[in-house]
Amino acid sequence: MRRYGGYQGTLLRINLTSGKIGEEKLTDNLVENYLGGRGIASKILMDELKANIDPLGPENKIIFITGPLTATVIPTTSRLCISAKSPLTRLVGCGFSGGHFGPELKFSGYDGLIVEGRSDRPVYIWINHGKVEIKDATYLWGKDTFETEDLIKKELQDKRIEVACIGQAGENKVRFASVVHHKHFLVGRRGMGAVMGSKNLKAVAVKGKGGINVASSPEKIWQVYDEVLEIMNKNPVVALFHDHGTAASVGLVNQLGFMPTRNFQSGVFEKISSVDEKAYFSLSFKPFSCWGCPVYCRRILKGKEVTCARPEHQTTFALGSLLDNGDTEEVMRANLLCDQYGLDSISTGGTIAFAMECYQRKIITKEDTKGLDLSWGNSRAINKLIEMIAFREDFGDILADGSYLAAEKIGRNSQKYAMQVKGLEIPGYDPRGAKGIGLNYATAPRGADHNDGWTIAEELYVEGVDRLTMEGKGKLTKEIQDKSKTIDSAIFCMFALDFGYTLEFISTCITTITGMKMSPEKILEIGERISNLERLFALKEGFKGKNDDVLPSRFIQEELPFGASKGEKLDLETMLRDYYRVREWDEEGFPTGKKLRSLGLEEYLNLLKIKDK
Amino acid sequence: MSFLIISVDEKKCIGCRICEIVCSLTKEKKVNPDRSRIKVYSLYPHIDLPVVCRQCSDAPCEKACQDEAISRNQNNTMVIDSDNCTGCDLCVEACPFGAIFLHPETNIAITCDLCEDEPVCVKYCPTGSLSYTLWEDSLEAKRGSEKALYEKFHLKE
Repeated sequence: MRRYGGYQGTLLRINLTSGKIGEEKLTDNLVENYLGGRGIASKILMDELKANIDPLGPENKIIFITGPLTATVIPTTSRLCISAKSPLTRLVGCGFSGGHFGPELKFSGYDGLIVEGRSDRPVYIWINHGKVEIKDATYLWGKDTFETEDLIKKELQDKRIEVACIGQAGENKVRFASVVHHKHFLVGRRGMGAVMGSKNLKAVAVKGKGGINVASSPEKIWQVYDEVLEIMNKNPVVALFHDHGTAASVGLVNQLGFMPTRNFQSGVFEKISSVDEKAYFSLSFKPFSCWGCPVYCRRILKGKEVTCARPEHQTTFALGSLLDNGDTEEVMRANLLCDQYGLDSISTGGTIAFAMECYQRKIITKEDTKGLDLSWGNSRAINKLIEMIAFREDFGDILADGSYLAAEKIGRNSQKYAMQVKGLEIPGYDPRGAKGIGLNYATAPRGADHNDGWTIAEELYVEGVDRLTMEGKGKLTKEIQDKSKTIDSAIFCMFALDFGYTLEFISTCITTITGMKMSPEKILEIGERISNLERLFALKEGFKGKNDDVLPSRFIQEELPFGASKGEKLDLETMLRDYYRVREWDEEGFPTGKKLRSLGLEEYLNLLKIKDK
Repeated sequence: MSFLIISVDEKKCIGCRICEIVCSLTKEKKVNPDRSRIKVYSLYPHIDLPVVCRQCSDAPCEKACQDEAISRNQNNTMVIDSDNCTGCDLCVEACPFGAIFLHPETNIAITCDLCEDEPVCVKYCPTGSLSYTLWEDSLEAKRGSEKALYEKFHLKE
């Protein structure tokens, strides 16, 4: 690679079957067209994975990768991307976390690592500033994520290493198992922890001693840094995040009537005051932060019995309102269990909510649940079920495959209560109350993921954007989806735009660090290229364009029954037409050859033939 | 004699490492926390502890040095004479806090020099966990024994 700033220029490749450890260089083509992080990871998966492989087989690959801005002085760029083919969705499975692992990986001399194959015994990978070892993890197998991190730090006798590991859920290949590091930072969604478990890979530990070379002089870097800090210090969202983090929106979303409650049967949670931002704030013990971030949006809470990281908006929804669980302490307890076992809270809650609605409708009974009373809000049953899922015990074994596969197995018309898209459980905004996010759930290349196109920022906070209208949402959704891909590749925090970064400023940051000439148009083109590439990945896996861009029928047929979004439902058909037109895809939701050529993706033109089969 | 120190209120530290970032950017011209003169230890449960030279009045590093490489300037700031330093590591072993270490390239002892009276870490600390304070006004002075606080966490093990 021409020496662009920000990159270390090298990827590690480790094969756990053979034990081979190699290095390879990042190429100009990769960084100029895909930037880093998500873009590069998706490109590698697209080109190296054969179609229809088993995501939990040795032929899947798991990639830990950073971006050119990771570990530089630019705030909110401490991000780590982990990607593989997802065992939950069969799509690109990338997930992100802030924290400290990404920068440490970069300081160790690598932009990322690709792990292939499968070890025949439990192992962990130890990257000690350029020296790489595959170490025995037999003694760690069966330990939770907190214990694992402590034990590895003890074994390696260093308190300043970073450990990304799986808990029991990942070992047991729960399809929504997460990867956890620094105890409270999770790459949560789509089962990256299960992919690690399937490879017998318990953890990756990393220690770096190197620095990051950038394309600009220290004076220029200080100037940009001071500019960013000035922008952020004036930004009201930053101030809000200091106090409440993402939980800041819990009260508002409920007030607007689209806080998913009892598996999306309502948009108003009656017991919200026990689990909103104010309730959490009263238990605040200590703020904590991602690496290099002055926003410090996270907090440790101390309850009567439970000490844990403050539940995010999504956890509050998934383990709270969605399950009718209105007790602060119990939501915290469930959250802590998910962190320790290594489970994604959204899919855990979504899958349990599916089971609870089946129980409500007598599709399943105590006979199916081994005596567990799955009445709404039964926190004891919720906690027990989380454990049963993590260990794949009894009924937990069925739920551990996610709501889509669980419904297939249970049958009896339960499928319509699995609130998922492409296998991924739906996050904490009822799409009937914010139409753009519904269109995003249906079309996002990773399944129903709010971060693929967080239209909520505009639908709630920008004047002139009406959350309830469907008009114009095609353009809005497409643009936000493309922006997110760029942000996920640089890698910025997904809230960077909300903290006052503009597209202009983001391109300035990338230019300053890398030396690549970037403009807002150029970085949006990179985003659009990645969106289309990930769409092609889905086609390669057999997804059928429009036929698979669906939402659960509840959102189309049933109106929200109460509150400020009462009477709302969604006309997906019309929105999709609008969206495909803006995307310059055909009516069936397939990218056109013209579009692919304009993005430099002509090598994948043959995939479009899938349509005719 | 009155002198200034970087005073640490570890209860306000959020573990963001901005001090390490701006220190290394200032002293090493690139972001490299391993070479930062201030280092933060995140110790579970829920403690983030910045470690930086305390400018001890009875400094173990100064006493341990056999090459007259460690002394104080007129502001009482610890100063390392790179011409005299042999990289013998005795000061590193002597410091109870782990606040002095050898530069991996030059092999010369480095420690916080208070940035010529304007510590950049203090300027950029987002929570006020670090402050540039007269010793007698510092938390450390009020606490009496700062050593006890740091030893409690076994940082040097």
